[in-house]
Amino acid sequence: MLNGIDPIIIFNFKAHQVRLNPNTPIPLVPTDDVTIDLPAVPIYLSEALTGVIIDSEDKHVDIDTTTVALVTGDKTTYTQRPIGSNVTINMTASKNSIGVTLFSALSDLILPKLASKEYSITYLHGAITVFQGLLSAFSITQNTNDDRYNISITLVKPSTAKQGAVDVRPPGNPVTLAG
Amino acid sequence: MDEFTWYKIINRTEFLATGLVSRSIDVVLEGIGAKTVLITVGNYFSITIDDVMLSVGITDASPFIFSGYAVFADLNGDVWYGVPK
Repeated sequence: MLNGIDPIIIFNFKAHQVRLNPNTPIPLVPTDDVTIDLPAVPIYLSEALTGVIIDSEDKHVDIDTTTVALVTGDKTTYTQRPIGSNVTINMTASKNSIGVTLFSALSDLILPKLASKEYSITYLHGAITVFQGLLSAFSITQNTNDDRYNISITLVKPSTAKQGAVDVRPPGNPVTLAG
Repeated sequence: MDEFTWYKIINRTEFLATGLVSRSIDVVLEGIGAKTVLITVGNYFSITIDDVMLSVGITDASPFIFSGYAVFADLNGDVWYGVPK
């Protein structure tokens, strides 16, 4: 439940509304992005409710580090930029659980919306939270020896914060012989 | 020189000190936008922006002008990229 006892994963969908500029009869490209929120689909990760239990959770932050070592032996310089913050949830469910059906259907529903980003996924479980994340990977594996499914979802937490100083080059004057 | 707007890209002396033969950097040229600059060191020190490769000193002309764009290395060793005004 939302008070933190059961983990919850919420699939949010929205639709872009193409709207022409209302100030002119000339059909111009719309300048504002209007989206319509569609009903969200929450899935409680509870064995009693949806037949899904969490095996493990994994959170990792990936950073791209470029190292430049000078042949002169001067101090090495480092440039870093964020790649992403990912959360991977590994779950187990029985073959007949409603959770497996929901995950399988929703993951197919997301595929055509990837480019337009008309979806987001929120995951809440104690300290591991992802708000309006994006789906990075999804898999369902059936075991041959029993009727269980292993479900794995990886969510990317898009960063909205400014990522440090941007390398802006203003126009300048080269130093020439004429000064 | 006056027909171009000059943007400083990199210092040639410092880049040669790294021993690298190529490097790609992302810069934002004020008034133009974000560009990816490929810096290469071969027989000449070159910068490639928007598929236009400009080499410093490849001819006797300074600045070197090609496809309407220019490159110039000044007395401090700074390599400048010239965009037509």
